[in-house]
Amino acid sequence: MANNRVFYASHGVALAAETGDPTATGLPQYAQMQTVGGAQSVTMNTNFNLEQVFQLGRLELYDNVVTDPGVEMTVSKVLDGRKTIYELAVGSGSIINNANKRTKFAIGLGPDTSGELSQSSGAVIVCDPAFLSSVSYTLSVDGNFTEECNFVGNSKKVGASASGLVVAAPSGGGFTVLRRQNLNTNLSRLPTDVTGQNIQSITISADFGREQMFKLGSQNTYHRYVTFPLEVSCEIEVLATGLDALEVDIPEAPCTGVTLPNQSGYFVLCTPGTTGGFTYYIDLGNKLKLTSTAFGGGDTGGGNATITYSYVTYNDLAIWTSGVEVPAAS
Amino acid sequence: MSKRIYYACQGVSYNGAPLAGLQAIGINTEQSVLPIDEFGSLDIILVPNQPKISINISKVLDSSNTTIYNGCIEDNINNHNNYLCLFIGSDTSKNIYDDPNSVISMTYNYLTLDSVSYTFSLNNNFIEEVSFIGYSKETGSCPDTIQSLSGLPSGNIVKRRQHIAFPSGLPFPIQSGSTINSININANFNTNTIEEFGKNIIDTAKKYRYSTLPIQVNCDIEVLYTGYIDFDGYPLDIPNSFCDYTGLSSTTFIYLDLCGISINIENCMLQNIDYDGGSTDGSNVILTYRYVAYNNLTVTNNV
Repeated sequence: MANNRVFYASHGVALAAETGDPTATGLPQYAQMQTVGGAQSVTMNTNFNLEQVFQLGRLELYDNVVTDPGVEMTVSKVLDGRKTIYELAVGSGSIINNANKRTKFAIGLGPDTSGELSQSSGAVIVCDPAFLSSVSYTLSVDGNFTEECNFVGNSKKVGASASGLVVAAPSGGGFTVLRRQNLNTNLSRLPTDVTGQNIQSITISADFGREQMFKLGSQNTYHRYVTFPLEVSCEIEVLATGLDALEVDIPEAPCTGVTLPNQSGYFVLCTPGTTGGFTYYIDLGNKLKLTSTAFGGGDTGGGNATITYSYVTYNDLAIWTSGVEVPAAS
Repeated sequence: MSKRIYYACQGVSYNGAPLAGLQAIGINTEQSVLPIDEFGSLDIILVPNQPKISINISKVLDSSNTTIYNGCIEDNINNHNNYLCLFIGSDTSKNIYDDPNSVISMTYNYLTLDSVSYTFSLNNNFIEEVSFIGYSKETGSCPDTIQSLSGLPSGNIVKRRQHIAFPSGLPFPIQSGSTINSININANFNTNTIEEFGKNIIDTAKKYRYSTLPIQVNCDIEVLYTGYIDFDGYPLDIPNSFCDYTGLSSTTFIYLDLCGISINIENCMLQNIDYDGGSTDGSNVILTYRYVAYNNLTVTNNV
């Protein structure tokens, strides 16, 4: 029976990271497809990118050329001890090492009358290859810790569910959604500007660019590369207990100038029972530099004043997980 | 009268056929002015000299598989019988021929092809650009009527990056399987006239024109460099003995199949390799190979 609607229980997302040599010719080799556990939302936009051509002598369109059709997908999940979207898509580690890795991306649909998405029903949309184009982590005092990733691709196939491509997400047993208590401030290394302060939120994001590479003789994209230098930004909002104490004093003397120290960004997120180890490890290296501070709030509305510290580094981002994956059924 | 002239108000017929896929036309009528001084006066005598017409045309290559430059170089540089009619119509008509009463025309006779250029790039339409020179233009008098432009096709498939192949491989030393980013082919014929006493404009019926030989044909091929060892094959070791030559000495050929149009440049030689890019702005290294040939460029339509 056809669905009357699609809601969260009737669709799911699965990813597989490339395992072979990304520079090898031929079709990419992938690990086993794994469902994204704790997924909150998925969007898919398909664009055909038309370019119009006219000609002298006629007003009407001469040709409406499909230039570079593409698909963009966004997936968000709560951090819950299972593998991150980043790790499912390209594997763990630094973005440099994973820059050329491709991803197989699948969205599966099941009946809207079932409480669980199973492998045997519904349609599947597969994008192969897809490329991770941005990653973002949000850790806040209110709400769950979340991850959001964007993917881009130039291929999209629609068909019936086959070979267990998408499986139902596992039940919540054994996994705990991470919230504010799960930032291990003892093991984490935070910029000195925020040390000892009441941190309200941390946002880490990186946009990989993913420029398309073409060649004469084929319309298809044969690779999408990460645009280096790659900017990685980190914003930390703290509750102000005083004023923004950062001074700016530009010296007059020659051969001197304003300097800022390099900072470390190293975030360890834990789950109960693993206080000695880590569940998620987000490493921004040790060349974070403060780009701005913003003091605001504390107005007559009764709200508290906050200070937002914005940091940036380049080409330095690594993400690891020690969660448990859910393999797709064979 | 129209308030303005835009693309749909202009139409061009060339040698009796409407030019389809035309993107732009530029016409320049000039005459050189010679200043003559004379003793006893500060005033300058201005003498008008040889008037000339230059026409530049840009069109997309499309599934009609026709080009303006057609055949080999000799076919084109010795053909002085080309004519072109530019029609200007109403800015409120959907097609230029819808309102014949509002159409004016200019006819350019005895045109000679003066240059040709082809550009094939990853993110744009394939383009042919040609220029003509001529010495005769008249208002109206076009052998073709405005209704002939009703033959303009309502649509063709414009050629882009997927409409090119290299059936005979890539010219040496570009490696097989290389990623070609762009190809540009150009040739300038440097057409000159032979003047005669008694007239300031040559008798166009006698068509005393010639191209300055040899005609250099350039072909630039941009390749994305991916790190293979022998990317230029251009050894520049010092010769071991007298009368030895080091460097690239072999000729090659370039053959492009544009899915209905073919371009062939024979007996060409690599003249220049340029390694550039890969700077800290994140760009990719691009190798540009420039080949040069002389008196050799053949374009075949409807292959």
